[in-house]
Amino acid sequence: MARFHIATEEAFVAAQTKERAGRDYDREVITFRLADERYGLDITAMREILKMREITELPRVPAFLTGIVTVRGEVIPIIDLRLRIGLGASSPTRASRILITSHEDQLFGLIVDEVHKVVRMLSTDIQPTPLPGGIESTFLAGVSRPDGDLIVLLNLPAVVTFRIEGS
Amino acid sequence: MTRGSDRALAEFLSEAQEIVESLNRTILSLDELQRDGGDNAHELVNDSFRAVHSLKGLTGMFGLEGTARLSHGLETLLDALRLGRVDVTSIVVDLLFEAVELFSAGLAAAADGGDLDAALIKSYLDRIDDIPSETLTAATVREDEDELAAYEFDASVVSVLTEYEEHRLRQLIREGKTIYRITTLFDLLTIDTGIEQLRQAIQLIGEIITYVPGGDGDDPDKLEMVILVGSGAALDTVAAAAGDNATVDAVASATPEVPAIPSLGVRVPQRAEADSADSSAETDPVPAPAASAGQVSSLRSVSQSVRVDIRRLDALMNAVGELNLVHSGLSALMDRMVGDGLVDHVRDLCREVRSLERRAAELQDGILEVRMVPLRQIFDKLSRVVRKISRTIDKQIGLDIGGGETELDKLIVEELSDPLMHIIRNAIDHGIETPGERVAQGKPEVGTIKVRALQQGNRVVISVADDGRGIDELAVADAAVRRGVVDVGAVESLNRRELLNLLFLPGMSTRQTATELSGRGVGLDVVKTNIANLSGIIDMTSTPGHGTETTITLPVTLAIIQAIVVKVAGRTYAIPCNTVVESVMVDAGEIRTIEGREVITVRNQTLRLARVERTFRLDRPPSVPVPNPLYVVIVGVAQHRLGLVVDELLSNQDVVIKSLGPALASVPGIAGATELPGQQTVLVLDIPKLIEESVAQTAQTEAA
Repeated sequence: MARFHIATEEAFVAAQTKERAGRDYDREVITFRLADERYGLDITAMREILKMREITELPRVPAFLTGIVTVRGEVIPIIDLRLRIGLGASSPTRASRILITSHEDQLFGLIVDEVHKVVRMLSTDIQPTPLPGGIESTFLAGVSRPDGDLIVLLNLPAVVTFRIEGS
Repeated sequence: MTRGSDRALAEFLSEAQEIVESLNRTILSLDELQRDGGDNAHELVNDSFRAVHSLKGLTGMFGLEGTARLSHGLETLLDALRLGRVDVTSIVVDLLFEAVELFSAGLAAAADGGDLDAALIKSYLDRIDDIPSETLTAATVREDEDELAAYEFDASVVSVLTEYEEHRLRQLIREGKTIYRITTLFDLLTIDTGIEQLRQAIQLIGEIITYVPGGDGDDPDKLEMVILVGSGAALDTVAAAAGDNATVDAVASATPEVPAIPSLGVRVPQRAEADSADSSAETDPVPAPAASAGQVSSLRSVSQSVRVDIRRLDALMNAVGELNLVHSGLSALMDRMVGDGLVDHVRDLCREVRSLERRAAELQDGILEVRMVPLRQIFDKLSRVVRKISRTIDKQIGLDIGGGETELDKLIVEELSDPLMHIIRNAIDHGIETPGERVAQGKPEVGTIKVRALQQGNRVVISVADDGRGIDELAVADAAVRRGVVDVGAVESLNRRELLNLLFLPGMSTRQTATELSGRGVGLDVVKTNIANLSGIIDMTSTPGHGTETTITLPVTLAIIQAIVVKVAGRTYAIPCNTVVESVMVDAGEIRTIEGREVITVRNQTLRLARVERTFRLDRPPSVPVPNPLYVVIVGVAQHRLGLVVDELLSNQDVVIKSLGPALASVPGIAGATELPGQQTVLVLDIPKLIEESVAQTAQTEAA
C-alpha cells in the first residue's frame, strides 16, 4: 500500500494531498442555496454572478421564466430556479443573485437565494440518487458530500431547455 | 488541397459570388446586343473572359476542381468568341447563362464543403465542344488574308501583341478604322487613375488595342505608355480625348490616301520582351500586356471597396446603441447638476454632450449607409430566371425593370429575392396569357411584367405589375370557401380588395393544377409571412382582363427603427412605427362591443380593438388604475387594421432592436427587445403576429 516511506506526519499529509489533488479533484462546483437546500452547478458552465436587478417581464410564458435582462447589449432570459425545479416561487432578498450560465452558446440567468462558494469534488463521489418527492428528477445530476454536507447537483441542460407554446 | 479556414471560405464565397453576379450582368447585356443584331460585342466578351478567368483562379485556389474545370472550359469558349472564331449566337448566349447557373450551384455546394457534380460539368463541356465549327473555319480562313502585311508595322510591336490583340488590330483595320498611336507620360503615383481616365475618354471614340510601357524617360517619377487605338474618328478628336500631355499620330489607315504609314517604332523595354516571349511560349491565352492593363483596373476596385461580414456591422450598430445610452445618461446627469446649482459647469458640459450627440448620429447614419445595397442585385437574378422560364413555356414575357438603384438594407435584400421571384412566377404562370389568347383580346403578343422600386421617405415600395388576365376575386372567394379557408358568411362582408387578399391565406391557389412554375406547395401565404418578417406590408390589386399589381412596402433598414414607447398596466413596450397608422385618444364611453369584440369608430370606419393588457394577460397593479381617456395606437399590416389599447404614449424614438435569442424566439407577440435610456430593457411588440392573433380570434368567434 504505502509505496513511499513516511518520515513525518506533515510529509504524509502533504503527500496525500498532492496525490488527491493530482489524481482526483476533477470537478469544481459553485454551490448556492435554494429555499433550505444546498445545490451545485458545474463551474465550467458559469459566466458571471449578478446582483438582483430589474427584470423585464415576458408576457404569456411559463411562470418560471421571470423575464429578460440586458447585459452588455445581450438579451438574457432569466429563470426562477426554485419555481423551475418545483420548490415554489422565490421572493428576492438582499442575498439573492442571478447566476449567468452558458448552455450551447446561449446565456441563461438563474435566480438563486444565496451564493455560497466553489467546492472541489471527485466525479467518482457523485451518486445518482434522486431525492424522493418534491424536485423533478430530470433536473438532478446527482448528489455529493465532499465536505460532509449534502450538495444536490443540477442538470443545467434540462433546466434551460424549455418550450414556449403559442406560436 | 485544403479548403482553408471558415473565414477564408466566407471571403472566397463572397468574392466569387460578386464575380458571378457581374458575369451575369455582362451576359445579360450581351444577350440584348445579340438580339438587337449589334456586332460590337467584343468589350462584353472580354469582360466575361476576365470574370471567368478570375473565377478559375479563385476556385482553383480553393480546391474546387469541378468548378475550376468548368471555368477552364468556358474560358476556351470565350477566347474563341473574342478571337472571332465563334460567333455570338443565341445558342452561345444560352450556354453562357447556363454557366452562370452552374457557377452559382458550384458556390452553393462549396459553402457546404462540396463541389459541382462531375457529370453535370462533363455534359456542359461536351455541349461547348458541339458548337458548330464551320464559323470557326471561316474565321480562320479570313485571318489568313493578312491585312497587316499591307502595313509596315514594326516587327517588335507585332511580336508583343497577343493573339487576341492582333486579332482586334486586324479586325479594326478591316472595318476601315484608323490606328492611332498615343504616347503619354503618367505620374507613377497616379498612374492607375490616369490610365483609367484615358481609357474612359478613348472608349467613347474608339477601341484600345493594347497598352505598352514606353521608355523610362528622364523623370524617375514618370512612366511613358504607348497606347494603340483603333478609331473611326479624326486625328484631332483622338488627340483631344488623349489630353494635353499626349502625342498622337496615325500609324495605319485603310484609306489609300494616307501617303506613307510611319513605322510604329515603339521602344519596347526588356520586361515587355520577356513577357511576350512567355506568352508566345505558353498555350494559356491570357495575354501578358492585356493582363497588366486588366490588373490596373482590378487593383483599383480592390483598393476602393471593402467586403464586410454583415454581423460585424451588427456589432458596430450595437456599439452605437450603447453610445446613445451613454449620451442619455450624460443628459440625465446634467439635469441633476442643474438641480444642484452647478449651472456654470453644466453650460460647458452641455456643449460637449451636444457635440457627442451629433457625432453619434453621424456614426449611426454612416453605418446604416454601409449596410445599404442596391436592389439591382436581385433584379439581375430575376431577369435571368424570367428569361429561362419564358423559353420553356409557350408565353412571351418582357420584363421591364426600373429603380434598381434603390437601396435597402443588405439583410432585407437577401430575404427579398424568394418572395419577389414567387410573385413574378405567379404573374407568368397565372397572369400572362398565351400569345394566341392575347392577340384575340387585342393585346400585344408579348406580355409585360413591370418591376419598379421607389424610395418614399424611410420606406421602399416595390411593385410587380403584369398586363395579363387579372384575377377574378369571385373565383378567389369561391376557392376560399371550397377549401374551407373562410366561411360563406364571412365572404359576404368582404369588399373586392379584401376578397383578393384572401389569396395570401394558407392553402389558397386559384388554379386547379399545379404547374412546375408556381405549384411547388409554397403559396402566397409564405410570401406574405416572409414579407411580414421583414416588417413589410404586401397588397394586391387587380383589374380582370387588364392585369394584376402586387405592392410590397418595406422599411429601409431593420437595424434601427423608429418606435412609439407606450405604457400598459405599469409595463413599458415599444411599437415599431412602420406598422403604426396613427394614434388616437378615446374616451372609455366610445368603446362599443360587437359580437363580443370591442370596437370604436374612427372616421366612419369600424376598428377592432385589442387591449394589450388582456392580450398579454397582465396583472394590473392596484396602484395603476385603468385611465380614462385611453390611447389607441392603430396598427396595420396589409389590409388589416387593429387598434391597440394602451394607458399612455410616452415618446417616439430610434431604437436598436435586439433578438431575444433562440430560447425565447417563439414568445408570441414579441419581436425583440431594446434598451431605453436609464438601463431599462423594453419589449418590442410583434405587430404582424398580434394582428394575426386578432384575426384568428374573430374567425373563431364567427365560427362559434
